[in-house]
Amino acid sequence: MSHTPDRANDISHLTSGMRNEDATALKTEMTRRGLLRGGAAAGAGLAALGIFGGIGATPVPGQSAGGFLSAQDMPEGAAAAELQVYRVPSDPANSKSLDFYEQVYGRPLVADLFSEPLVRINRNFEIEPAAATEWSSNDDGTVWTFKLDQGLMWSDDTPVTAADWVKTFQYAADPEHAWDFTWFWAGDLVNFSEAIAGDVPVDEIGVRQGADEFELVFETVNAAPYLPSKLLYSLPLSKKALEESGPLYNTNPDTAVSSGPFIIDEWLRDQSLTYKRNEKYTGSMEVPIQKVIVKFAAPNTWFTLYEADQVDYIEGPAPAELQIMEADDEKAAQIYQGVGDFGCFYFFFDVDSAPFDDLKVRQAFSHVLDREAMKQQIWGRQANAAPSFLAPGFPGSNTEALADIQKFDPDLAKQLLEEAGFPNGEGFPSLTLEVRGGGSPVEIATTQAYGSMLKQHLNINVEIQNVDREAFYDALNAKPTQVLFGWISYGMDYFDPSNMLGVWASGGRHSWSNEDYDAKVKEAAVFLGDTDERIAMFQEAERILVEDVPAVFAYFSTPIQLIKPYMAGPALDADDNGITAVHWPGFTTMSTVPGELFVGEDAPEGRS
Amino acid sequence: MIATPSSAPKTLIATADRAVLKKSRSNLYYAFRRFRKQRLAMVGLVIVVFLMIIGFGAPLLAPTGYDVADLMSANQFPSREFPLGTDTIGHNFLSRIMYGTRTSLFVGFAAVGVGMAIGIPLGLAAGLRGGWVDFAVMRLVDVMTAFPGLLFAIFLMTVLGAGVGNIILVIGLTSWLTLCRLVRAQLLTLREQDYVMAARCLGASEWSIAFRHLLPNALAPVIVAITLAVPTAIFAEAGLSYLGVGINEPTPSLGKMIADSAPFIRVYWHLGLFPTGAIALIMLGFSFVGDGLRDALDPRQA
Repeated sequence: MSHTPDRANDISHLTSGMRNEDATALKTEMTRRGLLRGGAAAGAGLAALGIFGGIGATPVPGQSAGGFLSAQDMPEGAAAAELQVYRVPSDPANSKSLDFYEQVYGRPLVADLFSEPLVRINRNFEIEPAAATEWSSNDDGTVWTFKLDQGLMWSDDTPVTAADWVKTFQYAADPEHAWDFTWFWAGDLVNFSEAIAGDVPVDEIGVRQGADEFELVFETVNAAPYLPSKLLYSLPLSKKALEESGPLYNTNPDTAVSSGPFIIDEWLRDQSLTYKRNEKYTGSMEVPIQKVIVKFAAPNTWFTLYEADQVDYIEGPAPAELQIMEADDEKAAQIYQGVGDFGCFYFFFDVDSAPFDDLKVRQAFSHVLDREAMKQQIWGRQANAAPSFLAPGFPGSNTEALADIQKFDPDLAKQLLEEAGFPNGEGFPSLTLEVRGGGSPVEIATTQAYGSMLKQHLNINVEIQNVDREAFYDALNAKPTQVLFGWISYGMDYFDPSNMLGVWASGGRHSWSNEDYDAKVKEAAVFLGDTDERIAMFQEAERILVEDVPAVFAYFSTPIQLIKPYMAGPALDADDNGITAVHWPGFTTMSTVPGELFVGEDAPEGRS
Repeated sequence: MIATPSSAPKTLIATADRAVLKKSRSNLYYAFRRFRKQRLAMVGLVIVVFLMIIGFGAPLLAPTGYDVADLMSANQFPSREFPLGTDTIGHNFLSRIMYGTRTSLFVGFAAVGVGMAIGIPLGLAAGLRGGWVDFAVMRLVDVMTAFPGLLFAIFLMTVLGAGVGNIILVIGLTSWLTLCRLVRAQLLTLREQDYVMAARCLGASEWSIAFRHLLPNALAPVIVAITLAVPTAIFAEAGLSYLGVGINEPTPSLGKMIADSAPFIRVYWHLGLFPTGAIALIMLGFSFVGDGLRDALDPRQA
């Protein structure tokens, strides 16, 4: 990247509106690198590079040479093995279970360490082989075959086989299970949507064993060039344990089975959760950390824990806490600013219900959000204005071109509301804004400020209600949805616009439905031609999205992490864009972070 | 109160009534004198009256409405323009505190009202009727006592959803036990008193005994209990709102203001100090008045 070397620690080019050319350059670069690295390229430009017809990944040398590091193998500068303890806080309200396939939106800050997904993502958002050593597709991109690492073992000494994935995906699709993330695979995998609806048995979904037990086959409804990237979310559960001990087997040390680097040691509800090393780990990462302690505490107490040296890492400090860190040079060096998962935070409407079935009402709402004032007074370094949905740095981002559609313009808003039949807000029903519980101080202040702006500019009374996370998602996912006006965020699951934009597809997370949009996203997703052309198609779709205002986009999160100075390793080095932070998705086997983070020699003793 | 029974010993009862009334009037008089002599109680009274003025007078007295915010003047320390500063989204904090006090007082009184509406009739029924009614009421009280109050309240709030009406209901539902037990205990003692026996011998009905003889005599401790229940209810509201299951924005609640201030308190100290101070003041005021009333109304001091 042209601007990397001399701006290694400056991410302003990413966070203050990356130009189109930059974004394209970034994509191309990533694609090329991805291919060189042997991983199937994540994101855009796959087709242009001829991904179909078995380009697959070559196994990385030393693929199965992973495991835990003994004392003499520790990276240079690392503390002794017994000091390799990593301590993080987690919100108890948001820590209900440990497995991805149990509850996506209710896991502790550190989870997903009990098995290896097929692929994982590195800090440049490229995918790398994990449980799969190579993969290929048929000519039309609808049948994908993954060769599994044959050396992988569960801690109960059974091999990790295709049957584990088949069982896991069937569990995910089981309507009785009612998983909170089914929409992710719906419409992609053959028969998945039908299975969720209970129309076909779960054993007919497009996930099956291939030629032998170390070959896994996915069948997709349409060409799915993005499938390898999307399979970042492919942590398997153990079929045997699932059948013998039920889906919560990993939450109990007596029944826990792991093929990942860690296994549960102890879970004291609402106090702490300890992961110890899985002595039988056979995966490809070399993991210096020997023990992870998750300490349950409300997010507004994390900073205190951090200052008291009780944890090594926190994220999302409050603005005032950040001020304290910034005031001191030594402390300021512990501040890391990342792009997280390119998360966009937004207010959404149920467009099927009055008063939000009227576009003018939605437009009026979109013109009273004063992002400039919020940036100055609330967000600071933690977020940037989001005039649209795709954050700068994410492929397809088009913030500048879309900036005016939902711009702050109270006079226009008043006029639109009047045209909708509510002059000066008269006759407008009292609203409740439902806010996903466990939000950060920035989220809380943003929702409150927006409530007061609606009152100030449109004379609309909005009550702001915090809703327990689980209840919130149940209400949101209900068909028809029970959330009329809500606050939520979405961040990437894989590095391609088809992912982020997919959340707005019909039948996805929200009730908004637009055929034109669906068609454009779908067409672009499977488009095999020129990369720029593909991106342009996504951008047309995003324009429809922003113009039809199913949501008022508020900010892109640029999350702040505070990391103790003795934490070290490549995970904290700058990525290709010069960003230094523990990259999404953090300390999990879906990421390369566990192999790249360790406790340095200068760590104080007696941390626990 | 001054009913005139139509039966034969009319004069006698009327005289007795007058005697009771005269005595009770002087009792009140002496009670008030005793109350006035307690400095803390008077301080409490002044505080309570002050809080009621700023709370219930907030719509007239507060510089701005509770939902008026100017984001560009957020996070300001106390100044001439904003005597208590502004909060994270630019509310005038003085207005928020005043309206928050109003919310607290309103919830406190209303919740105790709900508690009274449930607790006093049940206590009366149990104390008067005895037998299976008493048994049933007391077992209900036992069951309710077995639930930790705060947990039960959180459970109910989660089911019902946040909001002023719900929080009043929930605090009322969890706070009637004390009143119920107190009324019952009072009645059990009082109904064995000689004057009740006398009234009964004279042919007074159970109802007339209950309302003319028992209730007035049981009133003093009940008034004290009610006065002390108000700060407890206010504190419960603050606690629930602090935990995020109480009152919704933009209605100000002192408890929620404290919760929201936690991440800011290291820099913006005023966000935590003033609502905490306001709650402390409310608690102190009502507790002093309650204690004073208890001492003043204690019949042993008569």
